[in-house]
Amino acid sequence: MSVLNANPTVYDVSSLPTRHQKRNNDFMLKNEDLSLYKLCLNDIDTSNDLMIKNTQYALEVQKKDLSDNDTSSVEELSSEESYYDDDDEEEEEIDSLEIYDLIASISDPEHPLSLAALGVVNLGDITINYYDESKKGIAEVVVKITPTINHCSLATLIGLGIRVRLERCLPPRFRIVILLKEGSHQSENQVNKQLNDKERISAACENGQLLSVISTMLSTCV
Amino acid sequence: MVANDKIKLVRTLRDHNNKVWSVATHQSLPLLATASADKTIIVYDLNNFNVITKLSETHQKSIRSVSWKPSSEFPCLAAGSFDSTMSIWAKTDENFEEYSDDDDIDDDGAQEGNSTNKQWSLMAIIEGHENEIKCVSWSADGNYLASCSRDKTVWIWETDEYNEEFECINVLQDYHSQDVKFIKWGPDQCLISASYDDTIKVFKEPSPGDDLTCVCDLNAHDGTVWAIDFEPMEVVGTKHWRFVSCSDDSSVKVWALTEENRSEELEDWQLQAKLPIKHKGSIYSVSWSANSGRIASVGSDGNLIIYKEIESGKWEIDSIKPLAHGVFDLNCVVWIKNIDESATTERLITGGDNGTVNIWEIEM
Repeated sequence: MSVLNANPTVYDVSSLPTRHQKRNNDFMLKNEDLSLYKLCLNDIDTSNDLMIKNTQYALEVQKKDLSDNDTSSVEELSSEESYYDDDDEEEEEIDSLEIYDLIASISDPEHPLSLAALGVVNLGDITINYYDESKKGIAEVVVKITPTINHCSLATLIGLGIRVRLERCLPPRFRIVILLKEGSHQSENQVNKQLNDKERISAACENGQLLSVISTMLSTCV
Repeated sequence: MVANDKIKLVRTLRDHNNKVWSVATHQSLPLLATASADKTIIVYDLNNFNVITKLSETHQKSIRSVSWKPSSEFPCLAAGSFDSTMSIWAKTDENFEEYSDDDDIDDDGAQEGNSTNKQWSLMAIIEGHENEIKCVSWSADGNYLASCSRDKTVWIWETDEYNEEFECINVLQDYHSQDVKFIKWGPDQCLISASYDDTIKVFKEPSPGDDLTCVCDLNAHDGTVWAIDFEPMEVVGTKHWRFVSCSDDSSVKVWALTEENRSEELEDWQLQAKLPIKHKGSIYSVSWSANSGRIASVGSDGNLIIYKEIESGKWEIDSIKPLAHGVFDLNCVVWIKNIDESATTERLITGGDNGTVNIWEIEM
């Protein structure tokens, strides 16, 4: 298979934000791998910017969490919101850093690198919108992805991989919205529509071949 | 004021173990069919909600849609699957060729135990579509079956009275530029299709026996159109036609056609009303009640919303049931037609991603 973007920008995974104690090192490149993915010197500035931005964002989020915890304790799920089949386990509030940690280590389908290392997923591009004030009901997780190149034909596959990962890990009350970052792709609207069509996604998830590609992508997740 | 306690849960059916995609009631018999991602169809007795039969081991993938044949000597249903095939099921004598017209089938649903000589059988598997079937629908006279798919086409099948032979008589292609999500036959053998390309198209036979042609093309919504439902003839009479559509754009719209806007080649359907926007996100299903003329809609926000028409073309929200299937999506809604016309309540059925089917009751 020919590589679409043979020369992507690569970020140093160890400096990306995370709530995990220790960054899983699966994606730390060995020296011999590095020769395959020549880092463009020009890109280093942007990569540093992004790194700093992400780290600052993470710190802010954590600070906010701390202050939240000071003032309020986690409320019980009201009986109204319990649903039929699933366990009514009390869940902690989920924030964007937690979402980021869930998807950062997904492998790119093309490069032996994580989506975080390639800058496809960025902490600042993850938002959680609550439908109700209690934040206990149905909520929306929006992940904007930035493909490495603007005609990346694998954007839908990457989006689907992220969706499958989040659907498996998040409680069912979360609606997952995967979008391409504005201006990052030439068929932005088309890909966005496809990535958020419930019926198409369900059918795709019954396609054995596609699922096996996705499980390879997800095999590097912690 | 919108009352939220008007919609009462009567019963929850928990016989599927994956998403419930589609529910359908029989036109004249007390039968309910449900289709699920667990690859099974369950037929229930609507009088007591007992499982009559579970139809399985036929489809390789999710069953997306189920539809009862309206006029049939014995109960017969069609199911469309993501495996790109359609299956036809009927309750017949074991040797259905010896089926006699004298057999009383009207109470089959209620008296399952008394009809041991009959059983549910797979009558046919129909292939043709390139990929996932999204919806199946029988024409009102039961002569035609339509199916639609991600392959952008609608196929029209002609059937025999035994439901064994299905011949494709027409393929409607090059009309939709994307997946056809939903189809439904209406009065006068007209067929409406709704699509991922955001349009709704109306097809009609120019004269009886002709192939269907497109008589109206509506740029209906700013997003995928997931479903439509006709205003039941019980409500309208014959000189005026309406249907309701729902979409990814979170809106529900009512479309109307009058006699003067209607010819053999062209129908000029007009947007008559936008229902109050209350849903957040995709609306997957709508149903128009034959009992009360009310419309129900459901979607990914977990709400079951009922609208009533306070004067012609003017609608308001009648009632809302939030989290109707807990925190899960609702995929389908269908009103149950009352047999007793003096009834003061009516019921509707919803299916959700949590695998349950809920039966609701609401005052007229």
